Amino acid sequence: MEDLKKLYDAILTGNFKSAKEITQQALAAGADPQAMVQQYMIPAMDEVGRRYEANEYFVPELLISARAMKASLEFIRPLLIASGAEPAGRVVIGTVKGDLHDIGKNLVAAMLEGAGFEVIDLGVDVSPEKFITALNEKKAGLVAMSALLTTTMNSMKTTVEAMKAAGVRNNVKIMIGGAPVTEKYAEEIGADGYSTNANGAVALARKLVAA
Amino acid sequence: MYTRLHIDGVLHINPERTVTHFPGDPQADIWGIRRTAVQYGTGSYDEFANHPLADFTTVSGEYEPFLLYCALRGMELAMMDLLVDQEFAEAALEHIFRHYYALNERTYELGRGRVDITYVAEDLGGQTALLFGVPEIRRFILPRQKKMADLARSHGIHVFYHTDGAARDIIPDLLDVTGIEILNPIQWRCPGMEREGLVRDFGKRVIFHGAVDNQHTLPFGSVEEVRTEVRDNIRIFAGARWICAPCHNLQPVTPTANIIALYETIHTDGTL
Ligand code: B12
Repeated sequence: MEDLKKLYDAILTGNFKSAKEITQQALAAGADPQAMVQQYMIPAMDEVGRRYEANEYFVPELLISARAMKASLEFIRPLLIASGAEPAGRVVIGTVKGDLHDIGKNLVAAMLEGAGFEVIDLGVDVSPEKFITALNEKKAGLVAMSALLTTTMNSMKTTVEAMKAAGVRNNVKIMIGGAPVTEKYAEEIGADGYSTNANGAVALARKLVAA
Repeated sequence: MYTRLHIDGVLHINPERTVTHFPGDPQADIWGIRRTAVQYGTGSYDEFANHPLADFTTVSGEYEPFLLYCALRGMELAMMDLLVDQEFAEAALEHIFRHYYALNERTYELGRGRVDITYVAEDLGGQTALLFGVPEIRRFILPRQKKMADLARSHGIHVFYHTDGAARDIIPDLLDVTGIEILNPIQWRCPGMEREGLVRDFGKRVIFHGAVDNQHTLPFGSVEEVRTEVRDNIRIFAGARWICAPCHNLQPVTPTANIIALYETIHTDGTL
């Protein structure tokens, strides 16, 4: 599929209009949606993540690439669901209670989606109860929590505790991140992993679902 | 009909309307003005029904024009505009900027001789890197900041600059283009913001303000750790100029003892 290299490029350069067009054309021509995701879209988002980590891409570049990826995924997702293909994993993600910073959380969500995960985004200011309800409803194997403030980090801890109390802690893997969060803090509150950036979040999620 | 009357029609050219009414008021046009039909028997005229600026006496201040743009447009869209809708961003930023330029100008005139420092700011850094690429910062942000800083300087006012986070790569521009004199808040745990390097590279040209970590040391460190950090700063900034302050608004989780330790230590150990 020579033309699908253009899908890779459209995502990498953040051109959502052409990502959408190429996807529609390719699907109409009988391209395999699963292969489009695996061979072109995931590699494109991997490269986006790499460039971000190398300080070649910044937040605006990440955002336009994510938008292009989503534009394409909108057409592909229904087909994947219809075909019964299992996502790489199901992630419930949100910025914890009291915190409204969401750029980082959104980028993590987009990168996870780009890596083939099904992402259930609960938005910002998410209470422990909301996390737990979503986990139960969506049968997700992963929880991703974001906090950018020293005042709201503690909500991560209370959310983990609430998950224990609700008896769902052992059904899921928990990953956390955001500016003030550290590896040490992740250990302290009993989370399963931490990462400093969106690219690392994908690697971590892959590791956690494989474990 | 035009042919029958031997006249030319008028062609109206307008940009595509993506906003049709004032946010939150479907009855009002994009300026917030509502119209009401006034009958005159055989027809009606649309007349103005309200005057949104009627009760205004002042406009208030804002020091981060791009942040205001983010608030108006939505943070993500605003950031994407820098790459894909550049004319829109440029035009909107110019409006915002001019508004505050005029406001600052009048403030300086009114406060003639009584204003020492002005705040020029925009958050350019995140926790690990710049939020935007250097080319976008150079195009959209710096030229306007320079005008704002020049205005302050022409009134004999010092320029205090705030940017969060890992902003190392743009500091040379802030010094050369914007022309800042004081840099806040020096989040030294962010990559590139290590104090020693900043002192070495920029210590002769800028006054550092902040540098007492507000993400780990102040909220979660012990009193002794706060004291040590202040002493570290005194030592590291010795060859430069430093104003002691926390790296951002102290957050409510910060123990009172740590806050006292910060100011006590600078008082006892910070001799000139
Ligand atoms: C932009 C910003 C804002 C914006 C947020 C807009 C939005 N929609 O998100 C606005 C202006 C609204 C804002 C408000 C405030 N902010 Co603010 N903000 C920032 C700033 C400058 C950048 C954050 C950002 O978006 N970075 C870019 C993204 C891409 O990076 P990121 O969020 O770090 O996410 C990456 C990683 O952390 C990681 N990650 C994130 N989440 C997750 C989750 C998982 C599971 C994983 C694995 C990884 C991961 O991957 C992401 C992508 O690589 C930071 C500065 C800094 N040093 O970070 C301050 C900062 C976070 N803010 C700060 C403060 C204090 C505030 C306010 C309290 C200000 C005030 N009023 O006093 C309010 C609080 C509002 C609230 N209730 O939440 C302080 C926090 C200090 C502290 N001690 O906690 C900071 C650190 C600034 C500073 N100088 O100290 N802020």
